[in-house]
Amino acid sequence: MLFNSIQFAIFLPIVFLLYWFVFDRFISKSKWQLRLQNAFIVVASYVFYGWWDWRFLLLIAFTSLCSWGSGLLIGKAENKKKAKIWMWLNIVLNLGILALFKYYDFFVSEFAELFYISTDGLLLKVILPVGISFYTFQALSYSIDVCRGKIEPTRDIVAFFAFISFFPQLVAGPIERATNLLPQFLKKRKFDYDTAVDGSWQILWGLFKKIVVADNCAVYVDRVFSTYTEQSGSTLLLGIVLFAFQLYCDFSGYSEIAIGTAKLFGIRLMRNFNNPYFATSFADYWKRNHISLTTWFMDYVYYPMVGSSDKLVYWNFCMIVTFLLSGMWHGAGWTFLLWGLYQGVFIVISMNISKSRRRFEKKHKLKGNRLYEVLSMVVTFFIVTIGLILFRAESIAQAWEYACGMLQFGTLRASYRFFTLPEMRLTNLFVVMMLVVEWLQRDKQHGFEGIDKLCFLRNKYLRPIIYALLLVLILIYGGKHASFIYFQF
Amino acid sequence: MKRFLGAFAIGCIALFVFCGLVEYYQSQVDNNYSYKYWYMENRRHEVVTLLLGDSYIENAINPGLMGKGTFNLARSSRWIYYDDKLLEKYIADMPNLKQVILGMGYKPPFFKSYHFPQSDSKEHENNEHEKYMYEKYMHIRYDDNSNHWLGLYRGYIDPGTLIGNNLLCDSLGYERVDGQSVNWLLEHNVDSNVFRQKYAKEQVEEYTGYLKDMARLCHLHKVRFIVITPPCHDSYIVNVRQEGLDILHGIIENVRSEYPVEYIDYLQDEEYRADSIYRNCSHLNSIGADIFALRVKKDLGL
Repeated sequence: MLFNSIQFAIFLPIVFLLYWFVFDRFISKSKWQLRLQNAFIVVASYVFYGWWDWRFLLLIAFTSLCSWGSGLLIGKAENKKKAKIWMWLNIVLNLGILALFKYYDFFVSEFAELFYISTDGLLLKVILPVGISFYTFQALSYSIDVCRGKIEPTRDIVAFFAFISFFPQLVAGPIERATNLLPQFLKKRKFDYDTAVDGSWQILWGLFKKIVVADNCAVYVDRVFSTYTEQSGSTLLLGIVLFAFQLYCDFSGYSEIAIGTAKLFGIRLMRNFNNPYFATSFADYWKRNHISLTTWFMDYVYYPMVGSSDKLVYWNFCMIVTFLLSGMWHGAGWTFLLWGLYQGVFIVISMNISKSRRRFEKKHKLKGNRLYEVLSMVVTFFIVTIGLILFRAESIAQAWEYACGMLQFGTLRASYRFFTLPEMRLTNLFVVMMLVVEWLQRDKQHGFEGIDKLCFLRNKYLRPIIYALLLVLILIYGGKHASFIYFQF
Repeated sequence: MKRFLGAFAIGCIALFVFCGLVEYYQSQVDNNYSYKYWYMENRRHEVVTLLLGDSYIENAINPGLMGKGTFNLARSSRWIYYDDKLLEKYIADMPNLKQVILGMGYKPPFFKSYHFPQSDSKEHENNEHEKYMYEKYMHIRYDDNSNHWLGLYRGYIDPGTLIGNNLLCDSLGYERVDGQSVNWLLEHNVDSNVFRQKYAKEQVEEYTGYLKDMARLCHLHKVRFIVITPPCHDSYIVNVRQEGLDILHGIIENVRSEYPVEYIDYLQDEEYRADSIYRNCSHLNSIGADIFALRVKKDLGL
């Protein structure tokens, strides 16, 4: 079920009303109230997920059961060694399932091609279950944190299933930590009006970013990429810049909707994006972009790898490996691997020059200098965007051709005409609107935070009317894509 | 909670009111669909030659040069399903109709998705806008599940249809397009392996079914049924494969085995090699439309 679908527009109010009126008020005195409410969340989440393909409900249930069970076994283990065995068993099992669905066909095909072997009968050709990369990592974080003593294993299986399958963040994150989300399912939730209103505005902001900005950019990105061999260098550059906005708005839009929806249920999810295109360095970019995944890899891959080593060269090596794995997480393909490598190399460079950069800034009194800040943002954005060629391209050859094509400056006139097409002007306007709002709200959690405190929006009757009007405008000006890019991961 | 539910209720009411206003406004705004519907409802008795098809015909044949009683009922991005339904709806009550000319481009029989040719999709899902427009303005539903409000909810409405004048065709249904578009050599170009698209075989079968039905209707009402493949620029033709052309011609032969069909293939016709007559690589502009109209008139003896 997509967030931007009529089914979800019907599903959400029904679940919301049942959650608060039946499972909160109606049976509030029952000692089973919390458990029933959590069970309802599980049922609703499984309906949400099963709407796409009910067969994969068994998979998510299996992952949840194994991780819950491993948590109990880790908690009961006599010593640290046995605890780690149970933890590793859970990791291997879950990553094995992920590898089977996501990577098996890719590696078998590549291996077969290398040794001229036929793949007849070898490939599984299974559909990749939506969200498998997300909920698998979420489940893994639980057993690892239990092993590390960060969280007590829970005996409440219903709460645990709710933690894994909570529908707003089930299929495209944020990848929640058990230390943040699980305790929320273990205690009673209270409806808070301000939080619910804030969540509603956040959903609207997410819909704007996804439906209006991302989907409109997508039309032109597709056009440029499908005819890239004939386009001028400047048009190709425009195309990849538009893709940068498409990707960001698509994914962060989804996260906004997920976080906003969770707020309606009294659940707080972690922030997943913090205006990454306002980053002033590559390292800063990765502190702001897809935060839940980056921190997951840092906490569970990088820091354990680094251990107690104090060798800079080894740290750099670990960072590159971490980002290589992060690239692989995004997809079974050489382009994603190379994209991960690109990220790793640049983040290592950024981290290694940070001291020199700080000295340079101090020497030339650049700290707080607006022009320098903007220049840093532009340079960072440029480096990030170039890397996205690998993300978008279907093959390394295509990425290479695209990048080389960008160096042929060709005629700027063709790009100007393309960029100022009547229908493109609206898309450009939407991108600018998004950037302006995010800049003005850069210290807030989302673009529409606090909007209900603005002058005319303080009126309690006018506010929902304005909300409805904005929703209709979003639907009207929305682009023609339907699915979310990160669903493929 | 009461406050929130109260606000939610007000919001829902406001949403329905806004949607109602949009619905009302949309019904008042003229566009090519509404005009052509009006023409067929009120002046179909005058029609002698009916042009059907997609943009290859709507923009490419000037009915004003084809003789009295010619009407261009073609519409951009139309799937043949709608041509069939329109013909079925009106042919019985068109006493002066003598010929129906349908445009059959090289690409359309192989897939339905006009906006995303690379799409794997078999369904018409990418053409929600068209479904919406046909349902609302021409009262033709694509399938039982289609609902024109889905087009609005899923944001497939072209905002241009809500603002300003969208009536782009003249009184005879011809939508004139001048000059050349940006990147005119690339716009609407064909993938040389279009006939190998994932669902191409099924699409061809479905396309043939509708074409046969149209031929049957014309045969039943003693109307000439003519299929033409409009001309395209060299940059388009270079991507056309003989295998694809054979499939295309095979469709015609298949239909001919049951009903009389005249077919003229202008795709590689030497008269249409000049750059200046093309809007983009597969569509004639207004200059080309005039030339093509006169040629079709002559070839068909109209």
